[in-house]
Amino acid sequence: MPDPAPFNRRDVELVAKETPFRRYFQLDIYFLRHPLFQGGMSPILQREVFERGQSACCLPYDPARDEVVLIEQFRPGALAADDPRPWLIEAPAGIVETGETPDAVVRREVQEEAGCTVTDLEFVMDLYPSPGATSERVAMYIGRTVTQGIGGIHGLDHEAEDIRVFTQPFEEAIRLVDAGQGQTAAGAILLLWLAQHRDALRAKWT
Amino acid sequence: MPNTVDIAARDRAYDGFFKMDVFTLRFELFRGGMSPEIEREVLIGNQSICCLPYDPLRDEVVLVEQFRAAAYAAGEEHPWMLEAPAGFIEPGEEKNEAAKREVGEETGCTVTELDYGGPLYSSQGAFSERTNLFIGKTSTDGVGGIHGIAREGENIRVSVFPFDEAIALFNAGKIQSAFGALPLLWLWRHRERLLREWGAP
Repeated sequence: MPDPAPFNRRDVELVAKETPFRRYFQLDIYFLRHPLFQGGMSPILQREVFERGQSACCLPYDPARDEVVLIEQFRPGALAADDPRPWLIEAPAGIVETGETPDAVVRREVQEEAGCTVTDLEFVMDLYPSPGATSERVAMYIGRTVTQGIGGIHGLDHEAEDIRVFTQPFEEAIRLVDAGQGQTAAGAILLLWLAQHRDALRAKWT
Repeated sequence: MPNTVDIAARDRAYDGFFKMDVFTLRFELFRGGMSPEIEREVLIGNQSICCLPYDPLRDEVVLVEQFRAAAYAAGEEHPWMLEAPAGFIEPGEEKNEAAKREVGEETGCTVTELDYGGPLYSSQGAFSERTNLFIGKTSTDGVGGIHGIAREGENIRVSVFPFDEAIALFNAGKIQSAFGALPLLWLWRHRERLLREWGAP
């Protein structure tokens, strides 16, 4: 394989940064030059970045029952995409605030959003869901849980969360991904990763 | 099952390369009734595609590496990312055409067949982008070098990897972009089928 590009962030020249949008979220414009693979520097490029920071996402998995826990909720991104029914099925996730760790956040979010206790966390990856547009980075996990008694309507009233929780046999969940009905990138990645590592994980956790 | 959203207002709060809309809305609840009125900011992105070129005869994939300003903004030490070619679908363009066009522009590869993994929301809480996931049948013979449309500021290094090496890079945490992770995991899962469908000369 080729060596990684032989430069790093200190080789990037940040000329200016503007913040043309700041409400709950923030959008910045970076004016910068970066080194080129063939040598030399790029011209000054203008790049808009939707600033999102760190979040964390966890697919709860019961290795004994071979079941996953999924949630369904209204999603503004799907509304803006003109999805005929902007409720999506996905894995629990939440924003990691300053001073919090991703693993503490996913344990809390899985509890709040799915009513589910996670006893072990298997780190999958740090994911940039759309690095052409957003600085969001998601710490991705599979969480060991027991799915007995899990389900119903969850979420925090004061955050206007209204979440349907359900369990699903792993094979059924991955069949939907295989059929092109994974709905979300993070959910599809976690289910595909679980397909790849399921035997090892079940051996480790049972 | 709830399916009703009452939109009281939709305001374009930013209109640059990207657009930002602020929705004032109420949505139907699973528990019955409607939510209180809430405000939600959404980044408007067109539908995009992500297409991993795969040579079933050589069992090789083509990955691109490029500077990503969003990874720089996130503080990444090495904001150049390894991923499959990806880009927005242009107005009036079919997603299959967009996949073939992007692969051609970014790698110089010709894609003759496509395997489709569906549309997937990138960041559904606040971004309308859906990425259409593809594997593209190609030949990696002679593929490589520096590509990209200079006037769009693209500077893309194209490399061919044996599939096993690419998935090992992913498993070692070296591939962090969804546009790399998704198609490599998809190919891991569907490779035997694709070798059957595409492997015979």
